Amino acid sequence: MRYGTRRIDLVKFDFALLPFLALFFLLFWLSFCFVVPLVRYDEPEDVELPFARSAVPDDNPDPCRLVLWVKKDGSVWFAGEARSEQEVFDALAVEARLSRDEAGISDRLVFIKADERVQFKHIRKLIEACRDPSVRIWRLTFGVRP
Amino acid sequence: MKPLGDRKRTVAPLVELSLTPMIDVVFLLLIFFMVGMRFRVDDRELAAPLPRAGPPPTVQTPPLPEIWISLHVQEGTRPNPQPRIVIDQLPVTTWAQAHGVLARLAQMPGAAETYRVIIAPDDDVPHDWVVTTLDHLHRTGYTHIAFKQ
Repeated sequence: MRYGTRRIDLVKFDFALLPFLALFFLLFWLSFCFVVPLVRYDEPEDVELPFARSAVPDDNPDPCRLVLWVKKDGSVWFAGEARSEQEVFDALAVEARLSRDEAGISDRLVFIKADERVQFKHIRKLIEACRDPSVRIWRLTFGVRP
Repeated sequence: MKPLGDRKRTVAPLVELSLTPMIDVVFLLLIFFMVGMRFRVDDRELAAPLPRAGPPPTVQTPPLPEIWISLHVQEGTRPNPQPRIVIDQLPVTTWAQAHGVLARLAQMPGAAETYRVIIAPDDDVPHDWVVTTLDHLHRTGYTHIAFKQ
C-alpha cells in the first residue's frame, strides 16, 4: 500500500508535422500569388500580337530599348502604366537625347508591341513621333508572335 | 529482484515517416504550380522601316522606282473587316494574291533590291494587315520599304 505517491501517466502528444508543412506551403503559395503581381511590372496581358513568319527571334534584346505596348483601344502602355500622347512623346524625346550620335540621330531602338486589332492610326502616331525632328529615332521594330 | 536478463527493456520507438502525406504535399505543390504558372512566349520582332534621317548625300543618286501598296477596308465588311489591297493600282482581295503579285514583281532581275516599296495603309486598317504586308515583303526579298509620310 502506497501513500503520498501517485503515478501520473504522461499523455503522449504526437505532433503531426506533415499536415503542418502542407498548410505552410499552401499559405506561402497563396501569399506569393497575391504579392508578386503587385510588385512586378504589369505588362498588359490582353494584347494579342500579330503573326509573322519572317520575324526573327528576339534572343539578345537591347537592354536600353524602349518597349511600348499598344492595346486594342489604342492606349499606349510602358513601364506598367497607360501613358498619354504627350508622355509618350516626352519619353521618346528623352530616350533620343540620351543616345544621339554626332549627326544628332538617335540610335535607340523602339519596340512596339501592338495588338493585332488596333487601328493603324494609333501606330502612325508613334511612327510620326519617332520621325519628329526633335526625336529622330529611326530604329523601330514591331513585336510579333511566331 | 528480477535478474537483469528478465527485465523488459524499454526500447525507444522507431521514428516512422509516413509517406502518404508527403506524396500528398508533393501533388498539391504540383497542382498549385500547374495552375499558377504562365509560360512566357519568346518575343519575336519584325523590323519596321523608317528612313534614317541625316545630312543629304554628297553624291546625288537617282530615285528608286517605287511600288505603292495601299491597304483599305472593303466597304460593307464590318464588323469583320476584309482587306482590299492595291499594289501599284492592281487591286487584290486576298493575302495569297498579294503575295503572288509581289513575288512575281520580285522575280524581275534586281527588282527586290532596287525597287522601293511604299506602304500606305488607311487609318482604320488593323495593325495585323500592316504586319502581314511587311511579312510578305520580307519573305519576297524586298529591302527598301517605307511607310507613306
